[in-house]
Amino acid sequence: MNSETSMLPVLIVLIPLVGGVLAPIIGRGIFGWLLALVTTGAATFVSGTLLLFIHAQNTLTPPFAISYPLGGWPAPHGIELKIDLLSALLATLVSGMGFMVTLFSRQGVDDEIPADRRRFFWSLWLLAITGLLGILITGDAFNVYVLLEISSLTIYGLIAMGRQRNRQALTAALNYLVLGSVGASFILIAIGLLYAKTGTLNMADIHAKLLLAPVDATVLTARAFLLAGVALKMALFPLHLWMPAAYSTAPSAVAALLAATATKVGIYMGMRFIFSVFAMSGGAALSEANILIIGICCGAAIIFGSLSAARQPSLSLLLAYSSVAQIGYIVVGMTVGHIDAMTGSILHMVFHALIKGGLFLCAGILIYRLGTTRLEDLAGLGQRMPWVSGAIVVGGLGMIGIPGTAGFVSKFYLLKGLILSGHPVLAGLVLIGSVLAAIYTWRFVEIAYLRPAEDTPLRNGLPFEKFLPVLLLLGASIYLGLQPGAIIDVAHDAAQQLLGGSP
Amino acid sequence: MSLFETFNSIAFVVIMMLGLYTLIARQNLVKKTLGLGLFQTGIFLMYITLGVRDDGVAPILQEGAPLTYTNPLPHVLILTAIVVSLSTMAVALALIIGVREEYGTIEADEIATIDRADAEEGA
Repeated sequence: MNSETSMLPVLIVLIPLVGGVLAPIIGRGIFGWLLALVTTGAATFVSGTLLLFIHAQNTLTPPFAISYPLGGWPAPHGIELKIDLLSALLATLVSGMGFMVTLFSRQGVDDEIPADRRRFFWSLWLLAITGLLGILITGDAFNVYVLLEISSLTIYGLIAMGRQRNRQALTAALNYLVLGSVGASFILIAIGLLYAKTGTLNMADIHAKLLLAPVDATVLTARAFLLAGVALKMALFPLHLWMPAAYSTAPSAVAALLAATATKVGIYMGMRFIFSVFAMSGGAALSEANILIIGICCGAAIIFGSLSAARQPSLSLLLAYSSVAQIGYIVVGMTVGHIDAMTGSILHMVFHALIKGGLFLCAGILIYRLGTTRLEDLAGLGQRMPWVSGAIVVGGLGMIGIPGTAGFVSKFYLLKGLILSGHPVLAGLVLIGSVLAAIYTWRFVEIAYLRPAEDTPLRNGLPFEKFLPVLLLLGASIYLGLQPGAIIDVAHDAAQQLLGGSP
Repeated sequence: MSLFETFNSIAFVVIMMLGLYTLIARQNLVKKTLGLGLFQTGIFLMYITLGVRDDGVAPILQEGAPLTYTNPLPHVLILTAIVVSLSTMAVALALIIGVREEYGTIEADEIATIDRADAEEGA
């Protein structure tokens, strides 16, 4: 690594961290928003640079990852930042989504958060992004726990700030706090057991020592606790109960950020621990029994999530339950440990973040202009807000996976991987899920385009600064659906690194 | 495994399960939070027990010291986890204050009833 890039890894967390600390001091008025915009923008630039750098190096000399010893203490005794392709890709995604949603939310925060709280809102906002980015780039198991709690605690606070609009935000935040803390505690237990077994906290070192030792009850218990804790954090069915309430009552900007990034980071933790820490010698990370159990959870998530989405009373809840289903797709792809399925899984993380982020921003615009996302009140939306409802339909098509949208590319790889690895039933579930996605998307289309418009006046016009991020996100999802070559390359190489180079 | 470790291992599981049970079974939000705290305290005890060595002493370098030290790393880790647990508790109690202001109760079942009534009113 040359001198220009040598400091970049630590900057990814340092920039939003400094921003988060500064926000309560200088974040009054518009400055909080500007600070958030600048810091998330800078973090996006840094992680994007690293992504390009690592991808280029990885093409020359695979597998390539950047290791940065914090404070100059070399691993395994010091804390190591370790960035491989997957970390860099998701760090770019998280900081980029943070930037987009920040761009969206200047007015939104003015509407939904009282003036004296706004600078604290921006502080929590940036600290949450710090925690999420930190989890992605650290190579130290205990560090993962601490950063997870940093992001979680700030996110509980951010959700609770929705109480101005809906008092259920408080109970939703408290529910999430209780379940999220239990999940994080499970992860803490797992890390403790791993430490007891190996005497180290560095993930690569734990993996190396686990390979030498026979698999015993300690390791299996650690893995069980870890999978349960991570499943809670990523809201995998049946541990998703905190999610719909939290997404639908949080301030609209927070809902978009959470849907696009927080669960993805949970899934990243799962991938990282399963494949970079627990993977046994010979490559198999999960036993057939594990795959069966997780596969059942994913199948249930896809079916139950999609069916629930089709009968929700409001667009926010519909989107939240659809996220439950989409998590099922992503996890099923990573579970089977096949290169194509893993590629599909990584692609789906990126595309789902873009699409669902864009859709939650549309829900935010509805709240801004109508004051509600109740589907009954959206009758005739196609005439009243042609741009916004058009965007929602485009996002819905992406979730179904119509050819030409990004969702098609990721589902294609998922299906290919699931069939090639000998799991046709799971592949069938993915297809059924797409049909069900068509049902709940059609439900919106039917209400918005085939019902007569109501004549309740709109509160506000369509502000360009709110619609721009929606355009960019959904535009990116369509562009990547039509020109998927580059992103498939990155996802494929990332999957290969994660699976240890075995094809 | 020494007697101390055996006793601790049983103790931390019992404490954790007591906490988890309280968390699930109680409707009072403050009691739920206390259950969460108890659950996490059990984990602290687990970590502390990990560092124990028979006849180990505090890891301070001194003349003619015995060779066995207690492992300080789990203690350092758990210091961090205690801070996290404290912050979680603080955030939870702050949220409960908000819930009390908005709903006038801190019983989870009563809050659920109120929310359901709200939803029917809106429909």
